[in-house]
Parts: sequence; structure tokens; C-alpha cells
Amino acid sequence: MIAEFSILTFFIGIFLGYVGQRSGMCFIGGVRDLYLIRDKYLIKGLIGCFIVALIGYRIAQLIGGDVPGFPLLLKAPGTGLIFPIVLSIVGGLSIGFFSVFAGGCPYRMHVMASEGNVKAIAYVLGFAIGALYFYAVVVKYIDLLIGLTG
Amino acid sequence: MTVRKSRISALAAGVIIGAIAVIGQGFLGVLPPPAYGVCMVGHARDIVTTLSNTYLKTEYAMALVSAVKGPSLMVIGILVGGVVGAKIHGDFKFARAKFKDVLRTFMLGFLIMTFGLSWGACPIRTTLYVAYGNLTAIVAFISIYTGVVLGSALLRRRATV
Repeated sequence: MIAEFSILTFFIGIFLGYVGQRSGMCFIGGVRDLYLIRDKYLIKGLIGCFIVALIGYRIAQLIGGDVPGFPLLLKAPGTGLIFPIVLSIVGGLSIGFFSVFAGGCPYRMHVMASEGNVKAIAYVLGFAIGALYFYAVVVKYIDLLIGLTG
Repeated sequence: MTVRKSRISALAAGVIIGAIAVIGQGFLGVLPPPAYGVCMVGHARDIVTTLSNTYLKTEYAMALVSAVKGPSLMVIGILVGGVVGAKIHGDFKFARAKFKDVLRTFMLGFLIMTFGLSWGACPIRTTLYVAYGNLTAIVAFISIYTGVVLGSALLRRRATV
């Protein structure tokens, strides 16, 4: 049986997919276009998303929404700080760098796949297999490194 | 029948995505973890690990919300919503590509998911998490866009050589 939560997120996804298809929104393309061709169109979406989230979480908190710990005020939840920061630097740099060559952020690539772009469909398949590879292989090395560094 | 070619601006799309993420977390229960309202890496991972744990009997991790309430199908929905938009507005077209290019983007998708899970979020959730005030997210946000500038600089260099 499919859970209510799965159905809810599925319909939210349909709406987001439609919005992505009609807008061409890309969270990587904004900075890329600004750097390469001085075009500010896509970066407005990134800024808009950030501002709405910032104000929205506060409003949600004020009217009784579920926003635990907000604002975190530069705290990083979890144990230790050095290793998560190293992972966020390595992971972040790689996501940004490779996404430029892929042609967009994961959201944009999924929307392009749904428009029939064969390269983007291959990206989505690689994306799914990457998740399996991460848990089958990469996570063991991360655990090992965490163990070594304490 | 003619269908009006409506467009949504990138600014409006960003605002909608931010609002959906906040409403999803605050009022529709898309948490824990926090700032998980929209995440391409996390929600896609939840589907893959649910399938793997069910059919391959693995014990791979997923977001607590997906483990407790059932897997988030947001990414599947995004694919369906994209098809709906493309079909309604006449943008759906199979764009063939060389095998070499298809293999290259497959590998890029693979790498982006692997590194995305190393950090724990896609660029959308990273933006949401920065708004939430998470320190590591701010570091990741700066790293992602440093990576974009480095990649773009390499693209420009290739184009001019």
C-alpha cells in the first residue's frame, strides 16, 4: 500500500515539475550565466527562493508550523564539526563543478529528462545508480575516515 | 485547439519552490530532517534505498521522514509534472544524442549524486538550509558556487582555445 505521505509528495512533485518545465529554473544556471554572459535572469530565482525560505520559516514558526531549531544561527547539528565541513566543501565543489558540464542542477536535469532529452534521461539513471553506489561503497570509506579522525 | 504558451519567470519559480519547501516542512510534515521540503538528492535517495531495502534486502539509510511515513515520491512527481507541462505546451520531443554524450551525462549524474550524498543535499536544499541558518550549509553553498565558477571558467577557456 502506498503511504499518504508518498501520495502527497508525489502531487507536490507534479506541481514543481510543471513549474520547472514552464520556467526553465536552474539553481546552477544562475551563477553560470552571470559569470559567462552577465545574464541575471536565473539568479533571480535562486535569490527569490532564499528570501522566501528565510521569511517563510520565520512566519511558519510564528503561526505554529513545524520548524524545529529555527534559526540555527550558524550552529551545525550533529557531533563534530571538522569532518562535516570537509565533506561539505568537497561535496559542494564537486556538485557545482560537475553540474556546469551536465547542463544544469539536478532539478533542471530532471525536468529536461521529462521533456524527452535523452542525455538528461541518462543523467537521471546515473543519479539513481549513484545513490546505490554511495551506500554500497562510498559510505564505508566515509565511516572509516570518521573513525580515523575521531 | 490552440494552447496558450504560458511561461513562468525564474523569479516566480524560485519563490514558488521556496514557499512549497516551507509549507511542506511547516504544515505538511516533510521532516525530519529540517529544510527537507524540496531536495532532489535526498528524495531521490529515499526512493532508491526503499527499493533496494525492499527487493535486495539491503539496509541502506534514508531520511527519517521517509523511513517512518513511506518514501517521498517528489522526484517521480517532478518527472511526471515535467512531462505534463511539456505535452500540454508542445515542448515534448525526444532529443537524440551521441552515445559518447549520453555516457558522459550518465557519469555526471552518477558523480553529482555521489558527491551530493557526501554533503547531504542538492543545490535547492542547500539554499533552504542556508536560510535555516546551518553553518555547514553556508560552507557547502559557497563551495557549490565556487565549483560553478571554476567549471564555467574552464568552459570559457575551452571555448576560447
